[in-house]
Amino acid sequence: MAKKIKTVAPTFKIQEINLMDYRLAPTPFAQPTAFEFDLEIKQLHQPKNALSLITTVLVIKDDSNIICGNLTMCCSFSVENLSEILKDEEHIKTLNLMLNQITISTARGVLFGLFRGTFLHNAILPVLDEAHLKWLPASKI
Amino acid sequence: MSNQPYDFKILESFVKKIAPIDQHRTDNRMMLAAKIAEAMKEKRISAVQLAKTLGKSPSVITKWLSGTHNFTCDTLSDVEFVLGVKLLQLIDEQSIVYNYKIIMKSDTASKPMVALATKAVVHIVHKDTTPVIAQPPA
Repeated sequence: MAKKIKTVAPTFKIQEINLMDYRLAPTPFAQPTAFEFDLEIKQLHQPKNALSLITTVLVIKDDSNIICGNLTMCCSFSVENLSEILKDEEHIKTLNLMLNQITISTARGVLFGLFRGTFLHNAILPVLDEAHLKWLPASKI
Repeated sequence: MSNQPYDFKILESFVKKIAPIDQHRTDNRMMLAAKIAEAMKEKRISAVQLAKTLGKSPSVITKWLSGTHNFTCDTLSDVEFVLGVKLLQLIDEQSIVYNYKIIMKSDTASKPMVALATKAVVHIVHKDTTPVIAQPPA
């Protein structure tokens, strides 16, 4: 009989949102129609403190690859069962994805609040959809 | 050379006058200086080269290495970056770090709301080894 794997649902709450840096480039002559969002997310899990710190660095580029703006923010989450989650790779994946989605959504809101009314008004950060993710070798990035 | 024994009483009286917190500060400054000196030696970087990289004068580096300098967090962070050495132990050894790199594209000209989905390409690097790509929905 196959051994049943115990599922651990992450129990967490957001504690803090810190806006660390943001910049808006001068308004270009032509309004960009397409944007590229380069995100670098660092997730630091501290099981000792049941704390996860997510630092997000976002760079917005236009269709000519020119940097239009950037944003750096940090979200901290208190994760009750972090030690238990960190024991299993699948659970970690689930937690990381959830935290990524929340952080990206938060960044989307912060971004809109900061750049509303500017030429980046329509630069809405896309939704990170789990259904459309597949793994790639690191060399391809 | 004189064979007279040294009198440590004066020295001891001086040491006793140093508050533990001051002693702790001095110890840390000396340890930082030693760590930087060791990293420079390992990386074969001279004081002049380090000064040039960090945009400082060589005399500043000499002061750092004397163990008397009161470093700022930014300076330590810069030195860490250049020398690849851990000076600020902010991360608990038991902590786990995951790095993700995500690239998303949106075309706001056609349908602004479709920034949510069309042309969305997501690359994720999981623990620096297992990246992910998100395909646009059919």
